[in-house]
Amino acid sequence: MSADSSELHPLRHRPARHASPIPPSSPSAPHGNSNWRSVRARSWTGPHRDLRLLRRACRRQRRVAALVALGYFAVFLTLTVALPSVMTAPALGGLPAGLCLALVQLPVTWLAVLFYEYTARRHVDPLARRVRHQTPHPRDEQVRP
Amino acid sequence: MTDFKGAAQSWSLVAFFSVVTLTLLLCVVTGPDRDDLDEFYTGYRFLSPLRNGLAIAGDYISAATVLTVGGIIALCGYDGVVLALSTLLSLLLLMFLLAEPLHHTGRFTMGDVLARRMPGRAVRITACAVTLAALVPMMVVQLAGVGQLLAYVLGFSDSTMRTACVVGAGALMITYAALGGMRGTALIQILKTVILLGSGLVVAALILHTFGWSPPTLFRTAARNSGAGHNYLRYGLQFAGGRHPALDMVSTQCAIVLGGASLPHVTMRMYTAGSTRQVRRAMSWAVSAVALFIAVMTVVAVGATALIGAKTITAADPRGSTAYLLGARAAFGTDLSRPESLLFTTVTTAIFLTLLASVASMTLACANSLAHDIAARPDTPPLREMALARLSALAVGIPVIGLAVLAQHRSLQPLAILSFCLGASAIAPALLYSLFWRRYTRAGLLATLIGGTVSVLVLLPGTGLVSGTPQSAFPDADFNWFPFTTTALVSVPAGFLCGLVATVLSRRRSGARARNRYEAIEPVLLAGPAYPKNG
Repeated sequence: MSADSSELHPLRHRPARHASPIPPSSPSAPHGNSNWRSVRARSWTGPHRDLRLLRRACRRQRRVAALVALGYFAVFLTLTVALPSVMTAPALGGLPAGLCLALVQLPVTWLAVLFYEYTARRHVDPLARRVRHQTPHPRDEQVRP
Repeated sequence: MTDFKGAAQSWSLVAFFSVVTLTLLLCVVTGPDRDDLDEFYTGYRFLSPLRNGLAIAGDYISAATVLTVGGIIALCGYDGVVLALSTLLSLLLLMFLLAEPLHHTGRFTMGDVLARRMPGRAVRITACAVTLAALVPMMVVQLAGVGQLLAYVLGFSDSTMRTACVVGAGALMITYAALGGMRGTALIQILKTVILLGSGLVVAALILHTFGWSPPTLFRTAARNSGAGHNYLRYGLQFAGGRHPALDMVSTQCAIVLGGASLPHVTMRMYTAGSTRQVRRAMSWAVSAVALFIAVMTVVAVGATALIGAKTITAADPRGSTAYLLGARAAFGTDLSRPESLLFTTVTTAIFLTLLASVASMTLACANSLAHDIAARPDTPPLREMALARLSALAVGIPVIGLAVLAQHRSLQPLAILSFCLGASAIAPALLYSLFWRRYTRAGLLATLIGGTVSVLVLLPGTGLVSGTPQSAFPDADFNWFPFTTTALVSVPAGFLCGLVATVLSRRRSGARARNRYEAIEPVLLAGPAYPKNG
């Protein structure tokens, strides 16, 4: 059943294809036998660097987006449950503040979606394209795992 | 004012039959025409982002959402609005966190995503079992709802007729799933979203027009007519009878936010988009459509209370599931002109279509998972796997019809809550961990899926939804020991914790392997496959 290992070979390390200001292995780096693996993984060249940048960009975008969306709702819910006096104070048009905050969430959601699309296109997509092009030749992805 | 007599009733009957004919035709015409698995499971990723987004929104706005949440908004005001908002937030989180990684790593089913990370038959079988456990209760809710809705709109109270309606709708849902595959159900979902939004917007505009386009007037009138006064506009009506109303509310929102969008029939639409940008754009459309619908539903349901009062709504159904329809009916006034009754028929047709379409998508998700994750082997020929998928639709559908017939006279709320809690406690942790945690091991994955499911199944029968109160599913029995209405407050941490503990315990043995595997799929997970998926 677990016949899909063929499609999952790790990225090959090809330092020659991507010029980098930092040489592939810095002479000052310790080359002890114990940590040769970590040194290799941290080398500043080609696909590894792009992947690292992409990972960072994705992580940042995901964290900010999810925390803002969840955070707003969590604060709203906590206020509702813990401080009912704040949420029942009259606000716009005589409606309680809680209901106003709730109704405001609809347009805010829409803004969040627009902002997410913009940042993803601006900061994540170019990196993703670069990593995609460096991925070793298209593997037979359609083989059923 | 609230009865459906004469013209409206015969119009509805005609409309229902035309919808059934039209959608069946759509399924036959657009169903897969070659022996190609990709075509059956994903519809060849032929949909543009807008259409795909409408299909996702259609999958997401199930009949349970329209009827149950509409009822809670109408009867409990503020609490219902918060519930509707958490429904929206769930889809937003799906877009931000999971949509792109799911699209990059998945092929047809949730089992594919999980097995990409941890290959193995055990993972696939567990994934399929959890898929079935989460979706079958939801399907029972929808199918039993068909019987209630038709009985109400067409005005019969005969129990045999109701059962016949449930069986007929069940047969239709199997046909849609088996004939149409992903493409056929996507078209039905698009049709449904458009009709639902279109008719809803007209009704909402009419209601707002009645109240001088002033939402504060609408809400104040509703509060006056709800019988609860100012409490209608603040939290606390929904869980007023519970032991811990505040925690109960948090628990319910937690189940909806985490569970709503991680249910497999929603996530399966992520695999049908062509590229990363398309999936993102499709989700934007879906979130916008759902946000619009939530605004419409809030206005219509609050309008129902404002126009006819809470007493009339509870008289029609104690839980208010018909509030959306009653609101639409009341918006047109007492005497219906011909265009008005046509418009009202569009609303009832939209609800009917919602019931049929959402249950068809869920059948498809279950059937795909059964066929692709369990029945088919890597060397199964495509033609055979497709036949298996169609047979699985039958195998899932028939027991569901039986269960719906049995459950139709009981409270359906525990079943809907069961689905959401399973999504939140088993599926969401498993997907989040396996997509983002590089040390996650196979033992951890199995523990998350099984631990989350078991904790929900153990706790839910003890809640007040199942027994002990007059509104529960078994009002005569009383084995209510769990203090909350939903299990999420306990079972979600349990699901996450099971995965964490099992991973830490099994790390010494398989931690390095899990990490290597994650590193191997990371480029695809983050950047997508090196070439666009076919289509």
